[in-house]
Amino acid sequence: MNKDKITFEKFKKYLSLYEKSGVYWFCTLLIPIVEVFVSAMNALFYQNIINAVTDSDMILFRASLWLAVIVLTASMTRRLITYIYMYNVRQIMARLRIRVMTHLFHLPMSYFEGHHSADSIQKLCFNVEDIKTSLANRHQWVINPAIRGIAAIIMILVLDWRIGLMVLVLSVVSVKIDMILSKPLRGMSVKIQKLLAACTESLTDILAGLNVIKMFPGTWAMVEKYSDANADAAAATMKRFRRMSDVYAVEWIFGFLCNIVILLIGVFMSFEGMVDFGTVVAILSLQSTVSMFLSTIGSAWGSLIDAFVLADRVFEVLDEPVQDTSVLMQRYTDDCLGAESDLAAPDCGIKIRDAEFSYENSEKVLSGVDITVDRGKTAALVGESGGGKSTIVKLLLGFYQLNSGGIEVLGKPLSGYTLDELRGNIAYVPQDAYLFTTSIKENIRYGRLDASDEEIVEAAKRAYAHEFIMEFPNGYDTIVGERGETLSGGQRQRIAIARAFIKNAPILLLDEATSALDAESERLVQKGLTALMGGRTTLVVAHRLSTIEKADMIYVIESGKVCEKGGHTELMEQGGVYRGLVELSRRACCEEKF
Amino acid sequence: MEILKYIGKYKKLIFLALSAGALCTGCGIAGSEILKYVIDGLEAGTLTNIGQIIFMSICILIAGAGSAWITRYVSGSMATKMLRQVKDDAVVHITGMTAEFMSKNRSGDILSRLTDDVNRISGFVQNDLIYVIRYPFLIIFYFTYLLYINVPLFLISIVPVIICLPFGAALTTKFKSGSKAYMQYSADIISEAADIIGGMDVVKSYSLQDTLLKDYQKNVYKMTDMAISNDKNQSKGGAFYQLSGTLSSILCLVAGGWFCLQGRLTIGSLVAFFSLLPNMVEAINDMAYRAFNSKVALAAVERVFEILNAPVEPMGSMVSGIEDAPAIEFRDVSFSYEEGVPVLNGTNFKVPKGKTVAVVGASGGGKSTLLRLLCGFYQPQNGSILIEGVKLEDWNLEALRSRFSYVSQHAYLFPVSVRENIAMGKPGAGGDEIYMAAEAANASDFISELPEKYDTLAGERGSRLSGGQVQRISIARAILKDAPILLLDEATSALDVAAEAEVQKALDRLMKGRTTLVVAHRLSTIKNADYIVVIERGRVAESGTHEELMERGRVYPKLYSIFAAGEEV
Repeated sequence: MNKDKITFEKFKKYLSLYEKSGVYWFCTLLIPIVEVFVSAMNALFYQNIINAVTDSDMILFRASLWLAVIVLTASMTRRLITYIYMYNVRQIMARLRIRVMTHLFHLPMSYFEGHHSADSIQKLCFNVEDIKTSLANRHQWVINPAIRGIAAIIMILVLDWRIGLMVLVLSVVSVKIDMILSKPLRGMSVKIQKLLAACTESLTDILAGLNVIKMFPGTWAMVEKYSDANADAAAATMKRFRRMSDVYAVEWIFGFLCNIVILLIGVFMSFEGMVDFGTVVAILSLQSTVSMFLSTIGSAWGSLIDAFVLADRVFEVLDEPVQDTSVLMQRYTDDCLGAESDLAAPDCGIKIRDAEFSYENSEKVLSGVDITVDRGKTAALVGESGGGKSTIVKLLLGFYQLNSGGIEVLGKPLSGYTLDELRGNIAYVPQDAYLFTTSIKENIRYGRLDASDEEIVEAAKRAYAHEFIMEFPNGYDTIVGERGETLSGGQRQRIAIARAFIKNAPILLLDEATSALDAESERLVQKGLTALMGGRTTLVVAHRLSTIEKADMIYVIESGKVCEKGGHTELMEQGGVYRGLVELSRRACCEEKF
Repeated sequence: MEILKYIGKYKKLIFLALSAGALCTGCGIAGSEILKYVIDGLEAGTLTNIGQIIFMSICILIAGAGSAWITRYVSGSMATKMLRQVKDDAVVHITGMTAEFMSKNRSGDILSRLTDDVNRISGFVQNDLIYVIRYPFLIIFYFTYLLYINVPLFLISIVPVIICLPFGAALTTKFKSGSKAYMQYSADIISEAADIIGGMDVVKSYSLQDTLLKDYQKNVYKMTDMAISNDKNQSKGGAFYQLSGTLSSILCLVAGGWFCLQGRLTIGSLVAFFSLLPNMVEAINDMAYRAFNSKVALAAVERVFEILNAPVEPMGSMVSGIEDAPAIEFRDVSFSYEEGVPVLNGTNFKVPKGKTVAVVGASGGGKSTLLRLLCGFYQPQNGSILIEGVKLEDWNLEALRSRFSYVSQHAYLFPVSVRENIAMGKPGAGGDEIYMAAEAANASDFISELPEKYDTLAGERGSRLSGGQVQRISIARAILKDAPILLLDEATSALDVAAEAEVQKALDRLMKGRTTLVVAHRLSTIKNADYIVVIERGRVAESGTHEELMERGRVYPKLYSIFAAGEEV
């Protein structure tokens, strides 16, 4: 679609961004009307007072003083309306921010894995802020001069049709020229926006990897990357300034010419007796409104088009299809799970059958995977990294859908669950225990929102986290730093376990949860996990021999396939891949023992 | 103010923009002057030199348009260049900022300062700066002109301005502090949003959408209230400005008319002045609007410069150590991240050159902190750290950090290719060196299986690669750096069993002949170490070789049995 063309559909869609904003649009139109009224009264005041002076008419002079009072009152009213207008802009903005955030929350996980987080932040915060500029300024820039300018031309026509006609012709010509000149401006600010977004992404990366940057001189490339993006954005901005200056100079010439030409002609006409002098002065005062209209309409129109395109960037989020977590997953999966409804075994905790999966447009990650975990049992997934273990966990959480095959959880096919129900049945402890920047208490409470403080303490005790939490001066109210960076790895992990405890779900998914711990806290975490696993169906992506050995069933995953399965002793006897893995790690750990 | 340093660089351009702005205004005045001449001439019937007048008008036109162009372009391009410089400098400054400052200011905050706030400044520069430059001239010109036409007229007109403007100005000051608070709050919201987006998998798996949304909603509405209260101040202030402009024009006309009636003023002068009057009212009213915008920009400038003024890491000038001194020495080091919560409390130990020292102890005991202190991310409150016999604070940080290869527990990859990520270890490293480093880190096999091999992009936080793969790439980077001292922090723990064994070998190779300080969790690492330091509650509880500690240690044998139980059944 041509980006410059504003089609009716595009316009309707654009308006849909500002729901329930009747007062706003009313004020948008009212402001120029009041301004027109003010300038009309002003002109009338000028006309009368000048005529009073030239005719030495004291009555008219006094009458015009009343006009002055009206001018003053009306212009103060305009201020009030502007305030109401801004009030509504803020309300619309608040609604829009919440709408975009709500939408983000309901996007499928694949969106977040496919987009740089800075991109979402850019859209949620900075592009939405651009829309505020549209609301507060861009619409006014177009509507206001248009209404005022046209009204002023009409009034001039009424005052004197000959001069009015001349103003009209001059206006049409200068608007036309202005439009042509400002055409290259369109799209320029959108390009600048994109370049600025690149800066933001680069900056996000620098902030996230700051310690790495300090340690490796080669990472200076990242700073240079930012600098380059910055230079590009600056160059584009300069180019835009060039254009704007051209437009500005031409607008200046037109404003000047219109003023002088109209005045000279008016003065001539008044000396020829074709019009009275007061009228000429009144027209002159209206003329300044017309030239304001002339001198801004071109760039204002360009910026309105920018507003449309900038809104498009927010629509990039709003148009993404959401995942309704309260609807049966069948809606998303019905094409591949037709034969899924055979009688479910009540003792089945997790059952994955003949699962095939690939991320969008890439190679198969899983093919023909069969995994069964009986209720209350523990299964461990082992195998080389990148083999597809984490993908299985993501599938169980409903982050992605299988290409073919089926998954049953607690004896019911996944397609029979809503995402809320499914996730309600699962406690997930991710690889890096992500904590939010809030108190420890709140972080644990996120497991179950109606949990009481006592329950939180109880969960922390069972996760072996209570002791270290109490050592903080603020105890459970200690605020954890961004992404939990102020806590040690083991401490974060135990808070994540407490969170899983308090959720008290029948199914537990652990993703390398025991990694990155030192011996002492590893022991505590292991104890916590063992307690957590008790009576729950557990699927664990495991790296620890101790975890693996305790599992009821071990699945060895290699290149997206289950290559071996069975108990520890069974697999050791088989002498296949598993035994190789175990021996490898034993040798690495304890080789000097032998 | 810091910003003067930047502005100073563009003194000439600023002068050019200001003179062009003055010239442009002057042309407007000259136009009115010609007008007055023409009207008076017509009235008196003495207008003869029409050719001359047309010529002058054209000159004014050209000069006016030219100076309008220059004002706009020069002020815009100057500001763009300046902001670009500020942003570049800020990012360079950030890379040298203390970890303390960074942990107090969430990254979303810094992000918003360098995007939102810089955008506010550049918005001001693009839309308002030119007027802020022009208006003072304009208004001075108008009043001078008025003064020249008639002194009493001038005195009467200026009264409302003198009375009302101070009220408006007072409100702009209030508005500025309100704007700054608003910016801070919206930056906090950005941090919050970043936090949520980063943890989306946790949000989803725990169905936290509604709760977090409610929080977000609450914050957005609080931010909205702040904005509205700022708007209120702006409206009130704007009303005073408008009052001064409108009243002044009304008084001027009424008084002017009165003077004309009395014959103390010619109609020609009054009309000439009228042709400027609407512009003057417009200018005063508009100045109110720009005044508020400039306050927003000023608040934004302050916020951006808070980054540039943030403390940088203290640095000495030494670029090399003493030959025979121990590689690392901790002398009575005490440290706490937060006051009252000591992490290290009089830690003492040495790492001799070429030896491997393993640090063991309970989690939260301060082991990782030792490594962070060594890298100069934080400074100890008490005691001193010597590296190659030179106190940490005397080292040039760049030189110091080039002595270390630091493999932390949080491996971070940049979203560039795998090759570039590894090459960061050594600027200008050749392809062969990169392959060899990958080989040594046991990463070359999986890299060659990636769709685009070494040119595969590592996603944000390396998310397209598995944890083990990320870890190995970061080890390859450390291997390529080839620094004399190796700092290892639980580096191998997130690897799967097979890779772990291989990486362990790679690390053993790397450790040979190098001084190594390792925060150890692996039995093999600990037992291979020349020396073991047991840290308990921020102090060295005991130290010695494995055998010594097993024999006479108090804490170590207990720890060892836990290790052994954890790794082996």
